[in-house]
Amino acid sequence: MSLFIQSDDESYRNTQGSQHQLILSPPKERSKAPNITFDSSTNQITHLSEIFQSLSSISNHAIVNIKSNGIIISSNYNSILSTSINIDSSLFIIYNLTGEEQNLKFGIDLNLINECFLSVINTLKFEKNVKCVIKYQGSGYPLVIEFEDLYISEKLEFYTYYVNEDEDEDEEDISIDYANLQMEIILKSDILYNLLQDLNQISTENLFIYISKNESNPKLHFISQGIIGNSKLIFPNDKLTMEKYKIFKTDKFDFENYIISKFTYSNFFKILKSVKMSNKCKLIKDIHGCLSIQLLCKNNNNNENSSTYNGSLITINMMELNYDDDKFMINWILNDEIEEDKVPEINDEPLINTFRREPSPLLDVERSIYEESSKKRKNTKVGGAVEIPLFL
Amino acid sequence: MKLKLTIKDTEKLKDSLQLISSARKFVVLKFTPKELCIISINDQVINQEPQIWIKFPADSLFESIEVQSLRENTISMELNIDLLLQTLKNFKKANSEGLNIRLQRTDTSGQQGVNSKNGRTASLALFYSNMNINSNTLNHTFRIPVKILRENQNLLQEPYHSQNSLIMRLPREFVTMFKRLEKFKKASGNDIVTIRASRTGNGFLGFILQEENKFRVTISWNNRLEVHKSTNNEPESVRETLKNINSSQMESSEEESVDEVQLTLKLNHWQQASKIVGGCEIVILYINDNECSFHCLFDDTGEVEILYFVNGIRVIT
Repeated sequence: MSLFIQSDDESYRNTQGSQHQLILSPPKERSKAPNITFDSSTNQITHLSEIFQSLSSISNHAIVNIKSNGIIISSNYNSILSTSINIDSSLFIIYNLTGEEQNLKFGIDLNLINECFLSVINTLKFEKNVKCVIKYQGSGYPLVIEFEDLYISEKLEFYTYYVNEDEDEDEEDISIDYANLQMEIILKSDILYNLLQDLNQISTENLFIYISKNESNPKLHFISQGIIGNSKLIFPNDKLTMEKYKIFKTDKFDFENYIISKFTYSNFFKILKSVKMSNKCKLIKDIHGCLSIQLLCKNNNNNENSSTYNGSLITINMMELNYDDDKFMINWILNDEIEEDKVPEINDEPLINTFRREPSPLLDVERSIYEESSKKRKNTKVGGAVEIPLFL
Repeated sequence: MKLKLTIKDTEKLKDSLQLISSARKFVVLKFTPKELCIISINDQVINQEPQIWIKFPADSLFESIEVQSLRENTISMELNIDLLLQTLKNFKKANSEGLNIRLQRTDTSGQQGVNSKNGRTASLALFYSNMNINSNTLNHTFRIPVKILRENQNLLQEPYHSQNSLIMRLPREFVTMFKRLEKFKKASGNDIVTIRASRTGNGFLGFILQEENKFRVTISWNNRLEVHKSTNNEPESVRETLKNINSSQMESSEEESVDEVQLTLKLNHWQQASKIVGGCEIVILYINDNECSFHCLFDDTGEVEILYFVNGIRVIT
């Protein structure tokens, strides 16, 4: 769990940096000669390929930042969604960064790199032992990626874009204000992955995330608004699937007992591939409306290297939408949540979670089975089928 | 003109046809008493597009064959390869014995205009019979419209290399090379690949692709390749070449021949060979500065020969 960003980016780097055998040669006093070189080699091609796949599903263009303790690849989609992937240097067998500056930054076209990794993955069944070498010699040089196995050597030189360091600082990146957090939830990624797919299948247009501020009764609900109507998907709140559920008291005058965030689902869905490859997911939201999804990806494909490799960290930050115009929808969500908490009673109006309030005590037994066994599936679509005989 | 034959080994015919079926819709069948050639060319621009030749020796493919014509007992016809393949598949399903083929004049009475429009004046009739569960004999007849080629028969010349080439036998694993190259087909419209081959050291075969301001890629074969020089310009059969390679008698040939070649061609043309290279048992690559070709033997028996011939393109620099 130590890989998750604890308080801010900086402290993370400090804790990690000491573990690596970094070979830093003293700066060479050579005139105008390329004084920065980066040299690395790995056999974890499947893992790298997955990383590039999840990145390219968000944007075609990315900025690579090679640091002494790992590679950070970041990209941005329309300034509403930004990702950064932290590949730890322990993924590589060889990881050498030499030169005066210990920081290399350049832009790349992701699409083709992704294609190249994919084509190598597709030929892995013929030859398993493929070595991948990544090299870079500094500004103006191409990024060199080499694949080598018993039969084929493939040397790819990708032209890189120059990234102005200062310019990047000015650019207001979507970032989390760690001093003013609203909430922090750690959950299992596979369930989130299934949930995202379900939301996609019911053609969700707008996604509302409802989080209860009552820590003793954790509630993480995904409410879908789409052409076929509204549905509520309830994330199971037991300790196994939801490891951490923390609400921060931010404002004395904040009397609301819930946090609701609204997203356009087509944008939110872009995180799917990243979620798929991850094991654990941390959701953080600050008071400015920025949601950060941090995904810890263990390398599941090869156990050889797992002892030293902690896993890659994908961080996706996105800004929530303003929901001032969705008063009706918000009321509907809030009403529904209140109804859910109420003592069971008969109500004429069928609400979306009516099936949980069966008046018959006989059926109550069935209800408890629902609670225990199939929490994930406890969405409103299922409820509709159950409630029919009750109202006949 | 008369054509009457019975096919012995339809499987081999079907499987080798499947390797080339995606290349073009129409193929030319050239029957002679000695062999059957199946030729896939673009007759408008023969030299600008790949040519594929499959050669079956008559005695291994046919039970019996009768070919009579005024042109040295050769009959060439053009037909739809999918129809032929479908018939061969139906024949296999019927579990019958002996597929008979006859060339028939299309019945022109009354509907003359219909067939002469596209020049399909004759049809190739394929028939076989099988027994159903009630021991009744069922006769099947399929007629595939064909165009008899008379005038341009001379255009159908088996391509050969105009100059000395390097020759190498490609290992089975080489098919992965096509998979690695495949991604560049969609990457850009500028789909040109430069192939470099050399006889020095362990032998070298590499592919260079580039797009300005985007990427530059070199993919090369890592494993040992035995690269030889060709002995003469005469087209020789794959079997002869194999024999020559194995006895490595070619090494002692004349000194003026090349040690290194470089050929630029359309990536698409190269990639179209992937099915053939993947499906054949023995593959030999001939390459020189102007053209390259794959000479393949379909299986261990070495009866079916497949030739895939591509001309390079001139790059204006």
